[in-house]
Amino acid sequence: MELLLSIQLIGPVVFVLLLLATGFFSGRYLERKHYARIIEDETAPGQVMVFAERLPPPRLPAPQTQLVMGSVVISVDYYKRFIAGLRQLIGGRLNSYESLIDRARREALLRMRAEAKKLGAQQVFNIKFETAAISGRGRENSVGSLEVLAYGTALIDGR
Amino acid sequence: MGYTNRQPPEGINNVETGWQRDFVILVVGFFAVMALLIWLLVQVLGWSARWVPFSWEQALTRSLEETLEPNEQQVYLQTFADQLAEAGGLDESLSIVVHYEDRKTVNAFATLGGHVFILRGLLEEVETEQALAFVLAHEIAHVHYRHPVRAASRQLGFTVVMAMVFGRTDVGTLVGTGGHMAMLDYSRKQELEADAWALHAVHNLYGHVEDADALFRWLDQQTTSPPAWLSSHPNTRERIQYLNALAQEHGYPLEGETTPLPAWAQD
Amino acid sequence: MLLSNLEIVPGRKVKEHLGLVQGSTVRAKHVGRDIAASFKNVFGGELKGYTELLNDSREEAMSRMSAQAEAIGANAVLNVRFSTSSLTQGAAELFVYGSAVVLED
Repeated sequence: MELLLSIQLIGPVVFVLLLLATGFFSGRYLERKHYARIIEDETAPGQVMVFAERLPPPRLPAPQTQLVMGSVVISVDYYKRFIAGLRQLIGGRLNSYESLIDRARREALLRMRAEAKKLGAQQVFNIKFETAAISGRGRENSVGSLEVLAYGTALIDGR
Repeated sequence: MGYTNRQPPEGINNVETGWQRDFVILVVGFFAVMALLIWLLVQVLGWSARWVPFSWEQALTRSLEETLEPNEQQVYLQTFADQLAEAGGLDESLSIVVHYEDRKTVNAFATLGGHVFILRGLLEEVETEQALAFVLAHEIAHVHYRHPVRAASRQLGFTVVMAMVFGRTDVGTLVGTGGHMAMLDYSRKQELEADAWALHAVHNLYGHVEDADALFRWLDQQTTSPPAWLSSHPNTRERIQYLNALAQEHGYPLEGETTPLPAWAQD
Repeated sequence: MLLSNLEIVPGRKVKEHLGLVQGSTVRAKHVGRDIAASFKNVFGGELKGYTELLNDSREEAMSRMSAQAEAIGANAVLNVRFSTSSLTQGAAELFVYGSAVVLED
């Protein structure tokens, strides 16, 4: 009975520590890999160009326009969530979430660019972003995951 | 007028600060501060419980009184407890109600409102009146020091504060565990405090402390006990040593005449 | 660095368009401020602490965007847009993005 009690007491701690270690290593590995791929894709030759300007320059013949979008849902690892939970007590910058959201945004943009490329476009104008937190498992206090949507208008030259 | 894309450099929107800084500052610093706060909180809550009037406890546990059935065993134990309370000098504002339960587990416990429970398993295991006296006095001591209400207030207060500060997060789980450890430490101290009071009471009643540690000696032969820091009770062997040391310190005779328990308790 | 949410800069010509630049920061408020704010919630009124916190964060997001623009050789960011999202309870993300351009002198 006492033994059972002590398992009950120590169990959650061991469990949390295990999750923390897993989250720490897998999170770092995945983040490095993700960044490497993002940078590779962004600097690939012939990548579609993106602009935040609302109006494209006038030109002849007038290009076709088409709405393109890309979205990604990304999840934060256990270690980052834990660190963020502690951070919230003392306030300040949440570094761990900054890299997360930066990755998400660039990934969404890349997917949008890929869609534009498929349509044969060279440029996308009036890029806008939309961010939403999707809570996971109904726990009020933690980010389960994060959705970023990037959209814009692709200019497709002649047919 | 050119339209081009240029790749901005890395490290502007995601500053690589390294995990070590975060880890050291947050985890180590935070847990040091938390440990201090938990300790203070548990201390203050336990201490402030002494102002809870005993009548509140009694009102809260009125339902226990209704389940009381005065049979042979209960009457015997109640009379015995009253004698011990008198011998040990139980605080006058407090009173003891003993319950006898027909269960096999070897256990006895005290709860809010001065209710003390003795289980059948315990009566079967102890052989002399002196051994029973010590166990009963130990539970009376808990009532005397008002341990149940202090434990309850610590538990309740701690849970409420944790819920307010952390909600249901993982940090909350960890800190909660820390708090429980602190409370276990408290509980162990209270057990020793109660042991000392009980030894004193037994000595006052019989003039010696023979067989006071009888139940501990029996417990010591049972295996499977978790390490002391995980348990609400101190290590049994340490308790036996503690009792011996106390008896020596106060000059209580370790040997004396023992009386067997009444026949009904022996089956 | 010139920041504007107009498409154009009156009187000056855009020489080159360099694409999208963005700046973002995630900040958490601390429990102390939270408790003070919860009292304020009863009476209403401005939460000065939060206003300050969000302003600081927005400044930082803007300076990060400017840093990106400067690094790619722009001297102005046009069509600037802000977006604030609450990532998790108690933490907010301030995001600002715009179009990096080179203006003619």
